[in-house]
Amino acid sequence: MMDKKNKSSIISRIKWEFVLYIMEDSVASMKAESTLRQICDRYLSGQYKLTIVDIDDESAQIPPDIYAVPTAVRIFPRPEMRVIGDLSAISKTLKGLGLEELQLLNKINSDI
Amino acid sequence: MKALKKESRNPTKNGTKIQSAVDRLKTGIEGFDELFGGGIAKGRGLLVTGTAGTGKTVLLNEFLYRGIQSFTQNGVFVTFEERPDDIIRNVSSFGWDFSALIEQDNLAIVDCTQQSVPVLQSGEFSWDVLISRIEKMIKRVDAKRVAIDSIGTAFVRFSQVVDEQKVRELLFLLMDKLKAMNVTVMISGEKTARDAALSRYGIEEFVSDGAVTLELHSGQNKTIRIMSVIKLRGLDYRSGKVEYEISPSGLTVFPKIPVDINVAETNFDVRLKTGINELDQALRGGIPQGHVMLIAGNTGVGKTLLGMQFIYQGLNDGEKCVFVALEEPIQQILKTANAHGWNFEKYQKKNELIFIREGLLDISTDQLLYRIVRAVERINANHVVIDSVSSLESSSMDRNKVREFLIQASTFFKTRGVTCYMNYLSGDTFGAGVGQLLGSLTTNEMRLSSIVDGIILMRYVERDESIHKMLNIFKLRGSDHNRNILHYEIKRGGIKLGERFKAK
Repeated sequence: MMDKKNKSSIISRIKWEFVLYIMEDSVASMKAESTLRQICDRYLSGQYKLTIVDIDDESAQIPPDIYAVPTAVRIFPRPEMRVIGDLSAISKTLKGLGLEELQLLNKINSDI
Repeated sequence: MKALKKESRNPTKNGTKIQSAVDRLKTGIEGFDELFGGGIAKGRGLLVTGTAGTGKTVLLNEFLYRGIQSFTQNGVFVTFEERPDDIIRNVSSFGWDFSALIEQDNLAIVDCTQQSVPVLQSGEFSWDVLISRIEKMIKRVDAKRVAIDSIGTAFVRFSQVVDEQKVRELLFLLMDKLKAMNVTVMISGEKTARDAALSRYGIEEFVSDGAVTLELHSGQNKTIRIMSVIKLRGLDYRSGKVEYEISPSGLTVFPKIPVDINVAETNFDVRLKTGINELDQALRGGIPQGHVMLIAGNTGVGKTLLGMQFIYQGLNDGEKCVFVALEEPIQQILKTANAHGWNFEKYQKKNELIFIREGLLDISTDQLLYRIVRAVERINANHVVIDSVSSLESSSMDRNKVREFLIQASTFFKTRGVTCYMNYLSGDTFGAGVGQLLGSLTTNEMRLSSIVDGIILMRYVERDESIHKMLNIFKLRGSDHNRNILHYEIKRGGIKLGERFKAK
C-alpha cells in the first residue's frame, strides 16, 4: 500500500489539462478564470495547462455539447468532467472537476 | 363570407370587429390552417401539448417540412428530445428526406441532447453559447420557422445540472430571441393524462401566444385523435374539438366547416332533373337547386337507384357529381349502373364523378365531411348523393355527431348551391290497412326534417296479394308538388313512375 505522501506527489506530478470556455467582458467569465487559476495553483502546484477559449472567436472549435458560459472542462486526466458557472461554489467546483481528493490530501499534508 | 372579408379589411373605428395586427402564416399542413382560421400567428410561438404518442413531434417536423417544400421557408429544429439521426430516420417513413434538406441548407438541426460528460453547476452562468448557436443556425439557413422539441425534455435534461429557474430562463431567453428574429415557432410540451392544466412547468403559457392540444381517445375499434385550439392571442380561431389523423403522408386535420348561415347560393327557379320524367313533373320541373332531399324508405325499395339516376342525369347534363357510398362497394354500384345501361366509369375517368367510400367501423363524421367538402371543391360538383345517412348513424358512435354532420353538410351545400340526396333507411311502410295509406313518420325522419328541404317517401305496400311500390313527395320547400301517392316500378333503365295509387 502506498503511503499518503507518495500518492499525493504522484498526483501532483501529473500534467493536468483544463479548457475554460468564456465570453469576453463577462463578469462570471473573469471570475471563473481567476478562481480556476487559484485552485490549480493551490492544489496542482502549478502542474497544469489551462486553455481559455472565447466562444465569440470565430476560429474556435466549440463542442456542440457546450451550452453555457463559463464552462470549465477537465480534459486530462480522463474522464472528462465539466463545471458550468463562475466556479464560486468552491466545493462544487472541486467536486465537478474531480479535485475533491486533492483538497483532502492537501489538508492532510499541511496537517503533517 | 364576402361581407366578412370586407369588414376585416376596413376595421370600423368603434369596431366590434377590429382585426388585430397579427399576420398569419400558413403551415401547409392539411386542414391545420383552417382550424386556425387561415394560419397560425406569424412571428409568434405556438405551444403543442399532448400526452405521449399523440404526434407532437410529427406535427413539429411537418411544420418545418411543409415550410420548405410548399413555401420555400427554411427551418431550424432545436431538439432536446431525439438525436438528429433518430429524427431523420423517423421522418423518412413519411417520405421526408431531412438529410437532403440539411445538405441543401434548407434545414438545420440544433442538437441539445448530448450530455455524455458529467456536469455540475457552480455559481452564475449564462446560456449565451446555446442561444447564439441557435441564432447562428437560423441566420445560416435563413430560417423562417423554428421547432423546439420539447419543454419537458429541456427540463429533464438540464434540471439535473442546473436549477429549474435557470431552465426557465433559457426558454424565456430563447423565445425572446426568436421573436426578435421574427421567426414563427412551434414548441412542444408534455402533458400527463392527469394534468388538467395546460401548463406543467409554469412557463408554457408565457413562452407561447397560442396553444393546441392533441389527445387520444379509444373508439370501439380504433384510436381517435382529437385536436383542439386552446387559445390564440390576438387571432380568431375555430373553437371546439376536431379529429386528426396521422397517415403515411403526414398529419391531416379535419376541421369543421365554417357555417355561415346567411349565405345560400340557391335558386328555386332553377330545377334539376331527377332522371325520371314523371317525377320531374310531380316536382313541377325537378328538384329546386340547392335543396337537400331526404329519400326515406325500406331496404330494397330503390333509394340507391334513385340517387344513381339523379347523378347520371346530372352527368349527362354536363354537371359534376359526388357519390358517397357508405352502403355498398363502388364496384357493386358500377355493376348495377352498367346493368341499367349507365356508364359511370367514363365520367369517373374524366374526373366529373367522384366516389367516396368510407369504412363503416368507427366512422369519423369529421373526416367524412372533410372528404366530401374536398371532393365537391375539387371538381366543383353540384350534385351529391349520400347513400346513406342511416348507415352513418348505425356505424357512428355518436348520434349527435351525425346530426351535426348533416347540419354542417347541408349548410355547406347551400353555400355552394349544391343539390343533394340523402338516403335514409326507414322500416316504416305505408299503412297496410284500407284507409290508412300513409303510416306515421318515424321520429328519426321528423328529427331530420328540419335539416332537409324536401322529403320523398318510398314504400312497400301489400295489395291484391302482391307487394307494390309507392312513392310520395312528402315535403318540398318553396315549391308546389304532386301530393298523390304514386306507383312505381324498377326496370332496366331505372325507376318508372306510374299511376296514382287508388285506395280501394
